[in-house]
Amino acid sequence: MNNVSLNLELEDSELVRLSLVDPDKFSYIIYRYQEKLERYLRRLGAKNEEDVQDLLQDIFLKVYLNLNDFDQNLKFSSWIYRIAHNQVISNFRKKQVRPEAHSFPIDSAGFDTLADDVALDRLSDIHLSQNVIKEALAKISVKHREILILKFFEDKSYEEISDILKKPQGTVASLLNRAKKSLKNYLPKNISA
Amino acid sequence: MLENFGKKLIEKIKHDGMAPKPRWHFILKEILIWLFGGLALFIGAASVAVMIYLSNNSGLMMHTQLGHSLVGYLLLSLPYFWMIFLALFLWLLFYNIKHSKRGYHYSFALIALVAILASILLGIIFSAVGIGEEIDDVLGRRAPLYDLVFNPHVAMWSNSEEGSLAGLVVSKSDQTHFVLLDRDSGEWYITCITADNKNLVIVGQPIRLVGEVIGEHEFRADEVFPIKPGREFFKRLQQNNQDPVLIPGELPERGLGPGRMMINYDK
Repeated sequence: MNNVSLNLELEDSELVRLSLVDPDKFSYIIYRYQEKLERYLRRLGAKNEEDVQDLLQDIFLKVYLNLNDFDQNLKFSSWIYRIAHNQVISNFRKKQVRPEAHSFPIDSAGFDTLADDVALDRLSDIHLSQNVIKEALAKISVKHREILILKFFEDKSYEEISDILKKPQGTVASLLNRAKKSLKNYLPKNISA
Repeated sequence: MLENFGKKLIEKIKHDGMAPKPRWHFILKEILIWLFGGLALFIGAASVAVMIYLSNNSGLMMHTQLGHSLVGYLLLSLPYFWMIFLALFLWLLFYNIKHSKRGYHYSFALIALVAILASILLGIIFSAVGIGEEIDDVLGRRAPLYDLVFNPHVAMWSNSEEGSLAGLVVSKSDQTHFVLLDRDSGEWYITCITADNKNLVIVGQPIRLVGEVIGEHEFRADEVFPIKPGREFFKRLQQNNQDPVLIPGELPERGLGPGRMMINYDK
């Protein structure tokens, strides 16, 4: 089995097991999650390339050091996102800056999903442009923005969000509702198509 | 770029000699969380047991004799220290459950409910086997400020002007006349006019009295009751005083009437 096929075929939990024996195998985990986490960090508000790379390095090192703490009952992706989330929050706290939603990849399909969801809630067929949503996202609280990102941009289920944020699923659902309400408060009242 | 980042990171891991933390490290952490949770439950339940012991012996039905309304008496007799103590350890139990590996799955309300119910249930069991009583006795023997902090009943029953007096019987001439030391080691010369519970008047044992002040350091006891919570606190008074020696038959000093006794500490 060559390296590429090994990376493609193996389950995350299997890669964890292999990485515990051989650090080189950890590169498959890095390879599998680097892009996803990079995108997530930008969405959460990491400002520049240097910040993103520093955060990524810290996250993967933390993941490596805590491999034995990975709970097989969880999805590995939820666990690694949880570590990323904690690292970002602690990084923002350390630097005492409020994360700003300025670096959303503009072509994200999440905008359409979120726009559709919010428009449905508003019982109208208005079309919300990406820029309008992006501006509104930048204004809502970090807590609300984060849950919208996980749901609509990272496409995570309630169960996964619950595991990432370490909150009960019921809390996730109500937090998501509040986040959407908060977002709507920052959307223009009448938007024409 | 992707591979480059990964390579650099693996090199750093190897160069710095990093290795995943051992599994036992995480298992130990989880065990400690549950251990502290269990300890918090245990202590919380113990405080429930003491509260049950205090409540069972609060004398709530005597509120009118002591000049209080039911609510007023209840408010005075509530064991505030133990309630705060329980709240603290309930919070610790809650915190430990929440920080266990699967704790985040459960809502605040559910964990709080489980913590409260578990503490109460275990507290009832502790109470049934006498742990509440034992804790009160130990604190009564040793704890400083016991009467001010741990047991509100001591103060409630040390209100002679309102007709309640608690203390230690230090000497007696007969079942009707005896000397009592109150919580501040003040001597009271007691005339007991009731026939009920007279067998409770035993030298070296604490009792509660309901009655009236009839003179300086003189109290007429209309009713006699045993003391359970706080009994060891009153027994401390014995250690602080020399054993009094009675001189039966002599007319007492300090205005005591016929049949009373005088205490001579010099013999």
